[in-house]
Amino acid sequence: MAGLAHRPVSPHSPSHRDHHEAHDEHHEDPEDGVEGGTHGRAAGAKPLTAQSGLRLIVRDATSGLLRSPEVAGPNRSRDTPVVHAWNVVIRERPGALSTEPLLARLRGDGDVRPAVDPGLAGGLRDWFEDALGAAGGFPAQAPVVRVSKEAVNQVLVCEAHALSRAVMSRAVTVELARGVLVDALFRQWVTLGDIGEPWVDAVAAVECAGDEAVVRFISDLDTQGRDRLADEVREHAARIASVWPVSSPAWLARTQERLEVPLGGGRLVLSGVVDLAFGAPCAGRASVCLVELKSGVRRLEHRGDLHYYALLETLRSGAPPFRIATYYSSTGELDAEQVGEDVLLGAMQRTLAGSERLCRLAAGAEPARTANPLCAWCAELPGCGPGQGRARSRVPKMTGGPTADERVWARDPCWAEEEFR
Amino acid sequence: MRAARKAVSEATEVVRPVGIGLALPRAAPLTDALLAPAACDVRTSEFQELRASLFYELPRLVEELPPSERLQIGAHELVVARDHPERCALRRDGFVPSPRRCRRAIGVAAVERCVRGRASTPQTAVAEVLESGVEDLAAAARAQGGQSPPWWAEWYAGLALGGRATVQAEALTWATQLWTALDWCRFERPPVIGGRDDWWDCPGRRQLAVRGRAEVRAWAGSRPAMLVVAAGSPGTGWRAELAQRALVVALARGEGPIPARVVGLWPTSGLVRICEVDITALHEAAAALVSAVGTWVNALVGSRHGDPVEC
Repeated sequence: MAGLAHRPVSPHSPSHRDHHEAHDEHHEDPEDGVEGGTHGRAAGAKPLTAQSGLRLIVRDATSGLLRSPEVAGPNRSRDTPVVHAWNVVIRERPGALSTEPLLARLRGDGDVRPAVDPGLAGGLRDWFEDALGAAGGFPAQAPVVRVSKEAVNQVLVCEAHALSRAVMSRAVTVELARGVLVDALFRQWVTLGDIGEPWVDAVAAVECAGDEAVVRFISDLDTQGRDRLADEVREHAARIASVWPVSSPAWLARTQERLEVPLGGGRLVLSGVVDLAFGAPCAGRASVCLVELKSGVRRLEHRGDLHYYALLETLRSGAPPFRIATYYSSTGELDAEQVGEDVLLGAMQRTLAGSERLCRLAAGAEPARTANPLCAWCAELPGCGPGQGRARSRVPKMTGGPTADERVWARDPCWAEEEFR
Repeated sequence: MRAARKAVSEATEVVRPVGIGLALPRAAPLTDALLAPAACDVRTSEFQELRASLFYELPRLVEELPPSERLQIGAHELVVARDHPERCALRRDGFVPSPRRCRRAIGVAAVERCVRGRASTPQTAVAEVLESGVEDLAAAARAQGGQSPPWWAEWYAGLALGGRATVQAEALTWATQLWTALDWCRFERPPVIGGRDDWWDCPGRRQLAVRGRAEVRAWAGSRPAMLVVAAGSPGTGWRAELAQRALVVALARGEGPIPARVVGLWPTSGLVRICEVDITALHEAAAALVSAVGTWVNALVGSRHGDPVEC
């Protein structure tokens, strides 16, 4: 057909720009290495021989952009490029992946991409709707029930906690702000293949996207807090830029892709936002990979979140993804797995259990109170007997609702650390 | 796995006329559904009757509008009037560009480049569209003539790198969803990607204009067919929303052929709805339009008598 472009190339063998590691594992001279986290500013222009376990990210003097410099010659220690100002040195973590292994895990090298059962998505959808209908039905008079991964996690832990979270406004913390900023930089890296000054770019991205709560939170931080956050963001950016390949256009990468599955005539909607999806639509074999970026520590529910997204993608597109992965930008680790029937069934049962509870709550049922490790900072703690027993709290049980101060106290993160230490 | 797995027979054939179960890959059956010959026709006399009734009802509704007020009704205004009439009374601040608001304009231009063979993938195309937008803006500023810059160019050019990346990423995701939704090789006649919106001014009352917008315009035999991309999932009034596009085309183009169908695609939920345009669908669209105009006029007149609520 004249004038019409060819179909996109399959992403099975993506091309990418290699990022050569700038450190020589065998070099044993640590003295010239720059250490000390993200404020490594090398004075003057002298060859840097990076220490073992350190990865060098430099800022290109001409363009000002972050690069993991390519080794100019055969001798890594001698030919490593000169360090300029604003370099960032990140310490390697034991499980951190470099580019090639990361790509291999995402592509599932060595695994055969499964053929897609065309009846799978429809069958899952029918099962879900039938089971939910049998459990009590979709709430007829209630507003649309929106199910997200957070809502499922919360309601399966404690219904009362989930209900209290649902009515509260979004509370921005340092961890949440960091997550939003790092997500923005990851999106920038995948889209442009470039990051300028990470903190400046991330804040500009969040401002442009209109996330006023995070912008306000950042501007309200004191100088020390903002500098600390900026350092963390730069470190995450450096790790992403050093490891993640610049995506090939053939991968059809989509960032922050919204997924939505209406069920029960739209009375219940499963929804989510995936940090990164790539791959052409299914042509008989599973072809999409979903990646979630996490800037915090690994948590138990992350795997469940990923399975939930796999379920959404299956229901939405008719085909399951072949691969799902969580990338931890704080450590450089990647948890990847293939999506099989067991993953989807497990996700479906979990989502179904959560949806049943959410539908019941939407219909006005009294929430069940379940003592759990999150009681310590639940807003309902002052009025919750099981919670107070679990948290061993001496806050007098209130007959009314908690005050604003008590809500703040109940959400003090130091209690969370105590619980999980 | 549950033994009673539903045999998705509809996955292998197109089901008319409401929604379709799509075989994998979905692009081919969706394209075929868009380009299939018209399943029904609209008699000229029937449409003339419908047009006459609109010519009668709409000006009367708009009579109450203050002379300075101008009402533009598109798909968005239809939905707001139907689902959230209380928002019609809110004071509308000036339009502020944002990555989500610009993504369609940039994405459509990018897909058009891909379809015409000027770019191989949406990623390349989106980058080129943004770059040329900024170049056109610079040329216009130098008063060197040439193409007038797109409406988003000035705002985009003023963004920092991080903001530009967000705009590009949002447009790229949108463009990729449209680009992969259809099998472009199946179009015998080159489709129009985006194109100019259809506008119809209410006769006798310049205060009311109705707009119709589509992402892809193609030919289903001798009649046009349209594809509309929307966010989220189809609501209960999807049929009237889709038919509204066909109604505007029919009103605006006078003697031209009435569209055969309007296909709605909701990439977020992967859902497709097909509205075969017959006189019933046009009546549905007309009724929804009249209802929406009435709601908006009441809200605007009411807000002028009370204190308007800011958005």
